[in-house]
Amino acid sequence: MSETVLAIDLKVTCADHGTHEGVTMKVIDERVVYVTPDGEELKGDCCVKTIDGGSFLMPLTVIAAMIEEYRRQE
Amino acid sequence: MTIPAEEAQRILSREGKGRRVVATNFQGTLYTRAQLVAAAQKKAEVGTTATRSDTAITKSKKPQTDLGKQQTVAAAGDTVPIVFCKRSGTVGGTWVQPALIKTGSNDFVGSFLYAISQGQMVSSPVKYQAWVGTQSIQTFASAGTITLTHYYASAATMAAAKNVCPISSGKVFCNIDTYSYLAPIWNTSGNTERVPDYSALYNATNAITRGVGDTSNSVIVFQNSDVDVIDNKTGADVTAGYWSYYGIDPASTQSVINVNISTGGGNVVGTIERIPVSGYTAPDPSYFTNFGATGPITIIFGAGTVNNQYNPSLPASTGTLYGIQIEYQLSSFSNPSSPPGSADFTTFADITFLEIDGNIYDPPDSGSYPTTTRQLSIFYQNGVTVDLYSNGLVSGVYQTGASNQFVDLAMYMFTLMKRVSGATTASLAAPIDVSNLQTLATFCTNTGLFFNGIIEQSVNTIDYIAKTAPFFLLSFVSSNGRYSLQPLLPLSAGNTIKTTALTAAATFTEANIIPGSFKKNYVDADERRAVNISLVWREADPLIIGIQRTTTVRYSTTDSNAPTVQFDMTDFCTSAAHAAVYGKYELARRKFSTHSISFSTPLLTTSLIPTQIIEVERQRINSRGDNRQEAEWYQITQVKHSSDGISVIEAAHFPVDGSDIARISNEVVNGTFEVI
Repeated sequence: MSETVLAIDLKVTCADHGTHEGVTMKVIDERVVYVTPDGEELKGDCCVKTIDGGSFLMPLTVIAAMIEEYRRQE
Repeated sequence: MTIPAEEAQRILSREGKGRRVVATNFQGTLYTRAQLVAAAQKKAEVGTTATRSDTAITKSKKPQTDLGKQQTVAAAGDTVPIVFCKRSGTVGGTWVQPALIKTGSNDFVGSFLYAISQGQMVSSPVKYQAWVGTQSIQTFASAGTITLTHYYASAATMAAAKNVCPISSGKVFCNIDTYSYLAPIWNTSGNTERVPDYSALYNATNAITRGVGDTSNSVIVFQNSDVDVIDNKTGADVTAGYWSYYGIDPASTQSVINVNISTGGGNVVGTIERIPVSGYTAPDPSYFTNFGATGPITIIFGAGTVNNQYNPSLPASTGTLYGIQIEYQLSSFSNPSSPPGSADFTTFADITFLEIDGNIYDPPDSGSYPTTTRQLSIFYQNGVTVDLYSNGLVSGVYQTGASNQFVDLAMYMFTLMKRVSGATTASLAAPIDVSNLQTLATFCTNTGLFFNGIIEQSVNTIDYIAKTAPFFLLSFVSSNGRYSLQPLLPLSAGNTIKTTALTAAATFTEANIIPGSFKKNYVDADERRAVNISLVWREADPLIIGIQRTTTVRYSTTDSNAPTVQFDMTDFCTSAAHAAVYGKYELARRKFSTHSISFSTPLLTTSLIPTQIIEVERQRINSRGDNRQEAEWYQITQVKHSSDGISVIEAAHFPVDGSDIARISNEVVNGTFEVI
């Protein structure tokens, strides 16, 4: 299993208007996921719509491509 | 303005005796009137860009004096050179300064592709005879990891599999849209990232940590609010659309580079992060249009701040983090090593490429990681493999291999033109007579006349051979519907310059010279005055990069400050001895050959051809009672046959002594010269 962390300490807003803090954005086996501090994966009704804070650890071009990939997955 | 003699006479007649025509110098240049205006600039020729690129001395493949210059880069349309050489003993081989045609970067190790020669090189490249700038690759600190590899595929091989790139390293690719490169270092000063065309190209991005010492808890933080996103095509600022489309609040987010995910601190120097971990990310046709750009963009980061203790639970770093450097790998193919069947790389056929893998980049100044290199200079003992006409037929075929024989070069140039093939030995099909090539090659070997060099410009084959042949004491002639190479000086049975009595190929007398047709023209006195002959040639010492040298030849009675006539032999000559032979020939010819003649004769049925020696005997009678037989020897320069049954022979004076020994030949072999 390969895992690459793209962003940390994210504050995000989901499709259901719920907000989460301390979220990590990562690529796991070519799948882009957002994971809350308690291990919950944000998807489906809870899929991430906006990133309202946090730190990106990869170039913005990579972040952009991964956000787009996440949207395709969802 | 140089005026031909006939024109000068016409001007004299037209302008009358009252006008003075002044001969201003000994070359016969005449000025008829005052020059009142300066010459206007000439209009440029059309379509000369590629030609001018070829002729630029800075792009010469022959080593130039500035060995430390930046690597020359080939432009599309430049001529691929021909490296033709064979080292024999301590003579020959050649240094080449090839042009760089493509670069790549794989895990931050550079790959550099150079076009060496048309044809297949015999010698393999070696590190100790390859220099980058003024340093041998063998002495690089990283020499052990640097590799030099030739790649070559024949036209037949490529025709059978057009989509197979002959450069099979997997690091540099034939496909023009498959490439990789390093971006400038991204440091606290900020970063300007010209984003590749992710809408059309498969892509992979790697990042390496640059710095010194311990950087295990160092990162650089950039505020996304300082980022500008510019549409390259329109120049429009699309920053707002960019953040909006991706749903990112730039005011509350930041970009942090060099974070180590495992430790929560920083990466140590040399760490490489890969996205994706393997393979390529597929292109996204909407990548740029999604946020309102028309195509590729530039992302500009403002200044950042170093944090040497990003993870507060770890000790602060003690080293210096310079930043990170991005390596882009891009391709229009999902797997560049396995191009689709529609790919056609046949333009790479029949060219020897050199790939150097390893970091030969310029050494970094503090905190900089240049992506430039110095000029590559490489010595080859043996050049391209050719049909060895110089060896004659061996078991009915011509062998192949490297050569230093001019006759082999001439035939190779005809081979490239598809006019001959060594595998098809029927000489009648060839545009050039091959029957004497072995003899001429033996003569050149005996006399020390070898071709070791580079043909680096697009040349006319006939013109090149004809103008180069005299430097090998050969003449390229056309006779009886075919070309042939002939010796400029008669040869002995042992294929050396003949210094024994000659036998004329034909003798012409008043019996067969048509009355009134005989003309004699004396050589301009300037062409016969004492001069220094300067011959420029090129060293071919494997230990030092071959620089230009000159050899000067003169008679001992000639002043050192006499006018100099220079001949450029740098295309092929690698020995002072060769240069001196031609210098001696030139001096001897100037000394002894005083005139040329032409005359008509009833149609020749003999096979007289240019370079052959004839004797002309004429009765000289004048009104003062002079009546004597005059006999002179000549070398034919041209024979023209006309439909009215007349042949016109033109010939240059080729005097013999009382023993019928050619004076020019004897002077070249036995004369006394000063060679400096």
